[in-house]
Parts: sequence; C-alpha cells; structure tokens
Amino acid sequence: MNLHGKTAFVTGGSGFIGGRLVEVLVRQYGMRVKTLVRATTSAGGGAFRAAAAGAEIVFGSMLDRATLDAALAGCDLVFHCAYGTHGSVAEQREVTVEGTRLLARAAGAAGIGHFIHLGTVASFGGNTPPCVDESFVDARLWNWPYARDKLDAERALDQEARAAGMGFTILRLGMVYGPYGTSYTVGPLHAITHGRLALVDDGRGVSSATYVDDVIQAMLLAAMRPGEGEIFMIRGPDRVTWRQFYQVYDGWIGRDSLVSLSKAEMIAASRGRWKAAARALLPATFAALKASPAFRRSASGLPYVRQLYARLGKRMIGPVVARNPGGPAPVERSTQLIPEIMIDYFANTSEFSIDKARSKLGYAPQFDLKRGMDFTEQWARWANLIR
Amino acid sequence: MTPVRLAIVGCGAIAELGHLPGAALCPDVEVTLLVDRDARRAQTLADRFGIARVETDYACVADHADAACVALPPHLHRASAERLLASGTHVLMEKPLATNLVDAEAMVAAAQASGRVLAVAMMRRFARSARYLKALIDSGMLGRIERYVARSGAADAWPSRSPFTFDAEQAGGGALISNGCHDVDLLLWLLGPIASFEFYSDSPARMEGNCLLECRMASGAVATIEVSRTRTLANMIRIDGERGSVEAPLMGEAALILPKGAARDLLSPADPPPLDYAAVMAAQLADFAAAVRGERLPLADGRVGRDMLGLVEQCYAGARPLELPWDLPVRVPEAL
Repeated sequence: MNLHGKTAFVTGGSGFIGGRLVEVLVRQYGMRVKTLVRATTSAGGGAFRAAAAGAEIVFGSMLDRATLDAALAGCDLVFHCAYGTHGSVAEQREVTVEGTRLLARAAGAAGIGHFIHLGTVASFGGNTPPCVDESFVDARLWNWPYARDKLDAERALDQEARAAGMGFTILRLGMVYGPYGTSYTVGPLHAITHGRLALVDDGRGVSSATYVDDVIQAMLLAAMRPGEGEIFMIRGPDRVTWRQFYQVYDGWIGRDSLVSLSKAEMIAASRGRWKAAARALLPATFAALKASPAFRRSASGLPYVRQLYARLGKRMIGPVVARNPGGPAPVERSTQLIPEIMIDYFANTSEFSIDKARSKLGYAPQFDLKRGMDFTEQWARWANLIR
Repeated sequence: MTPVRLAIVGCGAIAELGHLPGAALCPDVEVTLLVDRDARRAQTLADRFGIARVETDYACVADHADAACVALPPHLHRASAERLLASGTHVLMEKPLATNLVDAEAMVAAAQASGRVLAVAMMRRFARSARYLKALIDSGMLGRIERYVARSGAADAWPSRSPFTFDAEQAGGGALISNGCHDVDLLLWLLGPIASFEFYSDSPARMEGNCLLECRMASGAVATIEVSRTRTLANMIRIDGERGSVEAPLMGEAALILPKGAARDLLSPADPPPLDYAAVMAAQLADFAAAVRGERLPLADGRVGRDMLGLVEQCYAGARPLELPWDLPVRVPEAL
C-alpha cells in the first residue's frame, strides 16, 4: 500500500512508539492520522506531542465500540500500539485483550485494509532456546501478565481478522528505547539519578535493544505490503546485554549505579520489600478501621473480635528489623529491583532472530546501541532528564 | 466594605482548582453565581464551595452579580465579554484574552464603550516570587539586566474538562498561547518591550508542544523563553544583571539572589516553601475587585491581553522549525 495521502487510526498515539509513528506518518507521508486518548482530564504530554505532530485526537475508551467506529470511519489502516497500562491487572488485561478484540472486530466491519499490531518478544515465554525464531511456541506461559495478555491480544486479533477477511501483521518487538520511552529510557534514568538499578545475573541477559525509529521502519515496511497474518520479530542490529545497555545511562551521569543480584537474591529482596510495605501499611489500616463506625458495628457482631483486637490492635506492628543477620547485605531502599515475575525476562540470554523480517519485510535496522543512544542522550538533555 | 458580587462563568478545571479556592480566601469578592452549560457540574461545584445559585447561560449574570470571571474556552471569550460588558458587568477574562488580535481589539473597544473593567488573568504576576522580582529589578539592585532565561514546561496532565486545548481554532494555538502567554507576560512586565525576536516551534499546525522565543529587549537585554507541554522543565526564571543574578520559580514563594561572584553553593540548599496557589488566585481577585470599585486599573487589563495576542500572532506568522537533532526522517529501505 502506498501510504501517501492515506488515513490511519493509531491507538496509543499519545504513547512512546505510537507518538513517534504519528510524527512520521504525518510529516513524511502526509497522512491523516487519528489517535485515541482516554480522557481530557488525563491527557498529558503524550497527547500534546501527537497534537503537535498534527494528529486528530479522539477522546474515548478502547472498550467503547461507538468511539472506535467513529475513529475508524474513513481510515485505510490501523496501527494498534495501545495496551492496558492503568488500573488493576484485570483492568489492564481487559484493555489489552478485549480492547484488541473489539478494535479488530470494528476494523473488520469498517473495511480496514491492513491492521498492524505491536506484540512483544516477551510473549515467547521464559524458556526460550538460544536462538528463537517466529515459529517457536512455548506451551507453558509464564506469569508475567503483560506478556500473557499481549499474546492473548494477538490471538484475539488473529481470530477476528480472519473471520472478517482483514489483512493483518503482528510485529513482536524487543525492548524499545529512545526519546519519550518510558520503561527503558525515562524509568531507568530516573532510577539511577535517584538511587541504583539492580541487574539479575550481572546483566548477562540479552536485551533485544531496539531504537524506536527502527520499530517505525518495520511498521512502515509492514504497512506497505499486504497483511498476510504473519508474525515478524523486530529488534536492533546488535547483541546488547542488559549491563551494556544500562551502563550507557550510567555513563551519561558519571555514575556506577548498577547492582548485581542473583535470581534468588532478587526474589528475596523483592519479597522483603513487599512485606515491609505491607507491614508499614498495617498500623494505618488498623487506625482507619478503628475510626470507622461502620467497621466497628460489623466487627462487634463477630465472636471473639474483642479479644482479637485486644491482642493485635494494641500491639500493632513493630518497625522492620533484619531477620537474617548472617544473610547477604540488605539492598538499599533506593535501588530499583526487578519484579519477581519479570526476572526470567531479564535473565534470558536467548537471541531473537530477525532473519524473517530482513528477508520478507526488507527490514534493515539502522541504529546500533551507540547510534541509538547518542540520539537518546541528546533528547534526554533537552527533556531535562539529565544535566 | 461590601464585597463585589462575582459570577464564575465556565466551571472547568481552572474554576474548580483556581478561582473558587481563591474566592474562598478573598474577602473582596463573594461568588453569587456559577454558570456552566452542564448544570450538574455547576451544581457539584456550587455544593462544594457553598455557592447559592447556578445557571446554564451567562445571559442572566447581570441580575445576580456585578462582575464575572470568565473561564470558558478561548474561542468563546469575545462573544461572552461583549455580552457581559454590554450588560454592565465587569469582566476578568481567563487567558488568552481571545484566540486572535481582531477579537482582542474588539473586546478592548467593548470595555471602553461600556466603561466597565476588562482584566486578563495573568495570575503569575500575583505570585510573591514575581512581585519580588518586579521590585528587585525596578529598584536597580541588579544593575542593568543583561540576560533573562525562563524554562516553563510540564508533561503532566492538566485535568481539563473539555478538549479545547487540542483544537487550534478553539485555543488559538498551542503551548505559546495556552501556557507561554504567562511566561511572555512576566518577561514584558519585568523587562519592558521586545525590540526583535525569533520564534521556533515544533508544530506547523499551530499546535506546538514545544516552542522557543529568543528576544532582544528594547533595553538591550537578551531573553530566552522555552515552553513545553511534553517535557517537565526546571520551571525557573534566571535573570542576570551587571551586579548580580536572581533565580526564582515561575510562580513561587521565594527567590535566590546571587551577588556577582557569589557561588551558587555558598548557601545551604533549602527547599523553598510550597506555592500557595489559592493565595495567588485570591490576590488576583482582590486586584480585580479594587478595579471594579474604581480604585485603580487592574494589574493586567484588556490592553495587556490584546498586546500579547499581537505578539503571539507575529510569532506564529514568522515561526521557524525547532531544531531537534534526533528527530530525523525514518528511512525505509527499498521494500521487497
């Protein structure tokens, strides 16, 4: 499909990858772009970035069919970059999976020519072989809700698109960084300017680092050919470990902030922090319950509640103390840990092959770590993230 | 003294977070009426702030109030100001005064014809830090001012109740007119008129998320104003004079004076007290009330808002692309 003059609906256009895509579609291809933003009351910098690029902002929910129908009217293409980022795990899943299903159904009904969907290499699971290609399937899905939900979103799209005869392509992305990147640029920069960053297994895991403009290249290439329901893996040109990746950020601010923990230490530290947080909440919880007449009324009807309150309520919970004086040194509170469910992702040394994307899409990543990070650094200074 | 009876027209975020808390602190005004096309929204705020009356149309304002604070989207400013002024109501208009210079001129003329006050809500002038900067510069303590730098930016969401800020027709433009008008206003208030300038924007669609104004002031000083809606910037002003410098938040409670040669770290870094935002809004209402009573002109009257729009239009007309070195075209290899 020749993109010039076409109309696209970009979900997640106020986000990192979608925001960059909007800029490129409008400026380089003269496309009309509509993008979805949840609400005026929560429309922050990302929505203004999309508006500056010239996108038409549609306010509404991914889960509202009428909003989607209105946004899709007159569109030739859909780029689906949005996924659930707010609320509970269940609410996020609802947006990621059911939102994709609803959008695919609406897009099929609207006669969209090609639906380009962003997936993640995390969806391959935590037990991948040394070299992974698109055919790999792991029946045992891991517990990371994001990875699981993104896979289920792909399945929902596959089902709906085939039923409607709509062309679609899935791009499974490596870890994406660059200007306006939240998880792997702004987040870690904040972590290392305010404390330390923990790596698992000394950061030997392979990161699949991908500069955002390489993702955009892949999206453009996908959009220019027919959507044949294929999956393509997309990452940067070089093999980058997590330590190599985060060391670049350290270098910008002249720090040595990386802390190495084994898997077991990471899990212990992560659980310890949860326990400490829960313990810190208990006194306030007791106080709030005690102050609530409704709670007192209901609780006083329960047997033994007075005795229980006498034992627990008065003693409260003491300050957090080291339980294991002989164990490893405690991790500083300001150190950003890897959540337990993501440890396998960061420890994974598999390389995700982009041979298929190279041969069938013509994908040719332009940004090795040095080049991508040089641009990212210029942006980070401009964005007042580093001085 | 009897307080000025005030209607608040438009019950969006600034009414809820700014004008109503400010009015609650200001003995010079009494809010007698809230107007919003959404009656439930108006009633919700009326209940919260103890306002007796709500209406869905501003046509009846003169029956219940002497003055109105208009916080409608900018494309509705001219029509509402003309109607209110004609009915004998004094008007404090939210910024920008209008979406274009023609409308702003008509509003100033309407105010003159009616003999009523037209003020524009340049509320940053009422922050203690800004008043202090004004006194400091006017006193000559810093000597001749050589350089002025303000960086103003927040990527956080402002809880707007309507989408007008995403529509150049309704808002009049992007970061410059919506947010930067405060920054440009402080520059003009503190340093006087601009002799020449260059304006750089990241949006050809007048919806700039980022812009940069480089000015040479008539006084000879060089000024830079950076405004962003996509980045969180330092939100500070630094002014360098021949005898010393001063740093202050764009809106705050304190300023740091650095005599020439004094290192910045000479003093222990103390966190300035948090901004008392409601007090700033209350000071603005007190100033407006004094103007309504005929005691003095408002600190920023309609002509200030009109001149701002003249400058904004010149900026947009001569806008150059903001240079963003990482923002290169994405090259697509020959598709197979």
